[in-house]
Amino acid sequence: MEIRAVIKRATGPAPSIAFAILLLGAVLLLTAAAQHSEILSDHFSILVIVNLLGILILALLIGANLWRLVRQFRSGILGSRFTIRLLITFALLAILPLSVVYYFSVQFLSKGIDSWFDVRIEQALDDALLLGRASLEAFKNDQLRQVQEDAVHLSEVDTQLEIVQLLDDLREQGGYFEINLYTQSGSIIASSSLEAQSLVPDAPDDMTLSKIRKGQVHAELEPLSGGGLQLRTAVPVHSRGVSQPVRVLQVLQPLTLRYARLGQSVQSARDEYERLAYLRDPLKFSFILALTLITLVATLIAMWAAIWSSRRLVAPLRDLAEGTRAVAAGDYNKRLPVTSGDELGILVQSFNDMTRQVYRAQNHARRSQHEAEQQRTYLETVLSHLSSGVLSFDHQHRLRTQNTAAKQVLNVKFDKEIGSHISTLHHHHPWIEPLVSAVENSMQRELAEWQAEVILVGGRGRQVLMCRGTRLPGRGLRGGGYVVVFDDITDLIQAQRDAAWGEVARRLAHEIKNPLTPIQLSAERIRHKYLDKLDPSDRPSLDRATRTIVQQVESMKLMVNAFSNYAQPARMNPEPIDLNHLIHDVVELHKQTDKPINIILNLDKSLDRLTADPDRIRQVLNNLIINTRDVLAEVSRPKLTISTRRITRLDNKFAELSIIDNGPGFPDDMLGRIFEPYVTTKEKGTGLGLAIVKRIVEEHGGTLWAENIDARGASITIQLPLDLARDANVTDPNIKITRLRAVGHRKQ
Amino acid sequence: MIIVAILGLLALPAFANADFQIEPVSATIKGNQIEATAILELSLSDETEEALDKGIPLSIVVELALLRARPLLWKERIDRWRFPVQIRYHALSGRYIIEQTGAGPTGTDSFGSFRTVADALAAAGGTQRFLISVANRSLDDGSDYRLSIRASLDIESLPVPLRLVAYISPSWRLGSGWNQWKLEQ
Repeated sequence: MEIRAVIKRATGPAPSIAFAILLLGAVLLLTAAAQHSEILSDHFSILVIVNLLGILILALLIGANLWRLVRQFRSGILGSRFTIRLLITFALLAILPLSVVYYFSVQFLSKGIDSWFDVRIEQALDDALLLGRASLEAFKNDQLRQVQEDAVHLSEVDTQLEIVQLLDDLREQGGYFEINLYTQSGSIIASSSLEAQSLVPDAPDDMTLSKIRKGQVHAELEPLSGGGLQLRTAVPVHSRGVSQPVRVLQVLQPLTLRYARLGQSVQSARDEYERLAYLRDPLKFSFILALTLITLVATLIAMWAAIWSSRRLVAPLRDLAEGTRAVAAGDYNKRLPVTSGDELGILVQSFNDMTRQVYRAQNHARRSQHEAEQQRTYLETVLSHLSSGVLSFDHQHRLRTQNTAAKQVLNVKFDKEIGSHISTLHHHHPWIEPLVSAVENSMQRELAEWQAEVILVGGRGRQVLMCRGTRLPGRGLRGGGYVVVFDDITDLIQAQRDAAWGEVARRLAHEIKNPLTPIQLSAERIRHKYLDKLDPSDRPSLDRATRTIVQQVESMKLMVNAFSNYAQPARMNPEPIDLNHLIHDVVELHKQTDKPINIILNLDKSLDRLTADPDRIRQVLNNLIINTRDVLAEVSRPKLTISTRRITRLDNKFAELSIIDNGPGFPDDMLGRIFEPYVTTKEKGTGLGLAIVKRIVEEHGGTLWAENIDARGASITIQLPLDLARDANVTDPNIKITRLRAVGHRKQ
Repeated sequence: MIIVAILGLLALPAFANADFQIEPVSATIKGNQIEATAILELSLSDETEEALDKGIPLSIVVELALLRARPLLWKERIDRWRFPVQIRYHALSGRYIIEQTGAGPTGTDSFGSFRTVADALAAAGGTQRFLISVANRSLDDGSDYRLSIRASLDIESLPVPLRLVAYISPSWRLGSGWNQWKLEQ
């Protein structure tokens, strides 16, 4: 990561600009060097190499950037396509004008250099050189002729002294710079020079001596080291004697200053022109190379700038695209860096403002949703714990919600009915048809609030529901739906009936039972006093009458006592009992009767002991078995099934006792009131058997209900609490009521 | 590609076409002085000779380097000397001038003009005797000293426009390469 950061920093804008400026500087130096700059021309080659290396580095950097762009394009990275498009546009905008300028510059340069060289000038310079050479040739011939004459004079002297003297004379007469006499082999014989310091004469070379030996003469111009020309003339000096060898006379004569200056000028102009003419092509090459390098550097810098500009331009757009994607994916907290203050920066800032607003709105919506969910959960919790059933309907009268109590009260699961129209709710549950009719009727009449008592008769017998309906507020023109709340007031009515029966019993005891004893005693006294005193013929009548009175009074006493026993709660003695054992005892007792029935026991051996008054529970079992036996009297194959089991409901443990027969079942119109006093299908009996059962069960904090079995028969189910009675006085009516409500499953 | 080609050519050995020959004859040490003798054979290519005739002066440099051999290491360069010889054409006289300015092999200036290029090159070459002294150092320490010599055409002394061509063209890269001989005490 650090290396990448260093590379990224090194290829950033500032280093790149610095590098580009350096490269441009190097190109300018190269151009100056190509133009014969005194200082820079010595470093021309180094500058070329530096420029080439710089161009190579720049080309590599651009190539790497282009390759990266191509890879990004192939990978489908956001913004790469637009970057390439911008890059191509920028590059074309830069390269095309540069190419045109380069082309015409090369043309102008080439033709401009060619125009420097004119054939006439070259010819003139050549002519001038020839003229100079011709002029020098004439001077040379004059000099040669004079030296040859000097050689004739020199051949006439023999002695060394004469020779030296003559050389001095000749040098002075001829105005020579130096005159020397050599042997054929080049050895000096005598010398005379204008410069006395010149100790060593400038001897002729071998070629000159060879020419002299062949009898030829030598006259040639030679350049001097300090500039200028000198004429070297050498001629043979023939001796008068035939036997004497030929000597060599050499004269050195520098050109006069005027001649030398003119000759040098012609030489320099001609040399310069020749050099330039020769350098024409290399000059073109150098200039074109410099121009090419400048164009190349400019093109590469333009490319680099195009890449940099494209990336810089595309970066905020890419960020925006990525931000938009993030927002589309649900990330509203996305913030983009604002890198500039131009329109793109404003756009990015606007995007950030937008996402900030959306984020806030989303948070607000989320909070609202959370609150709504909490509210809904709260409502559901409240609804689920309500003892009242609640049904709600939308504006199209379709069932939307229901609570647990509604399921239990109506004995309908409602799982498949959610979303169903109210008119179809009772198709699978015909017993709720009165409720459906009442609600539907109220909806059609668009009543804002309504209340009605509805009686349902179903598998659980007769139920009385108190219904209240309310129209919910709508939204706009659309209606808001309805909510229906109903309570099963069957128990309440039953309690009221029980209270009424208790009052009746108390009145009976008070108003009827008290007079019965005097009536009975009076009847017995009348019989005892007047039976013997009557005629024998009247005695039977009095005897029947008083006996009837006594018997009926006795019967009335029994009836009143029984009713009083029912109406007034007895004192209970609760103790832990084994329900299964108690059932065995009672059943065994009933097997020994005249008309035994088939009793099947299906008892749960794991049933815990419960706290109850064993005598009262025994009475419950007796009453139920007797009641069932009477019902099954006319059944061909009577069967009674007694079962127990342990159940847990809402963390409460119960012992459940079920008595199922295969008799005709309860009449539907009596099913709801079967545990009321004097509600019976039998012609005989007090009609208090099941009522007493109900009272005892309720005194033990239990519940019971009667049901008809679909096939044939009826069942009575009793649930007695296993835990509560251990800690409380079951005779306390408040406890009983509290527990019943806590269970919430009370059934008739 | 053109740039790479130019760089490649520049990176070539400087004297691929060795038209100069150097034959070391002798080299001896006397105190801090070295006396070396070598035979130089110089010749020009057609291109360089044409440039000379067109007035382009050519500079031939004889380079000497004193090295000290070290075990397991590269040789240490003690000193280095350059002896440039310029050859140019004098159009008015039609002669070729050989000029050694500053420090010739024997430490003196020399000047000469010749009728032909061959004469001039023969004068610049031939048997050359070099007398060089090493400052602030005595060479009598028993070390293994070597003397390297080479002669080459000095491209950097050419006119600027010609240098690139000279670097690129093999005809212009004239040189003998380094020749080395052991110095005797």
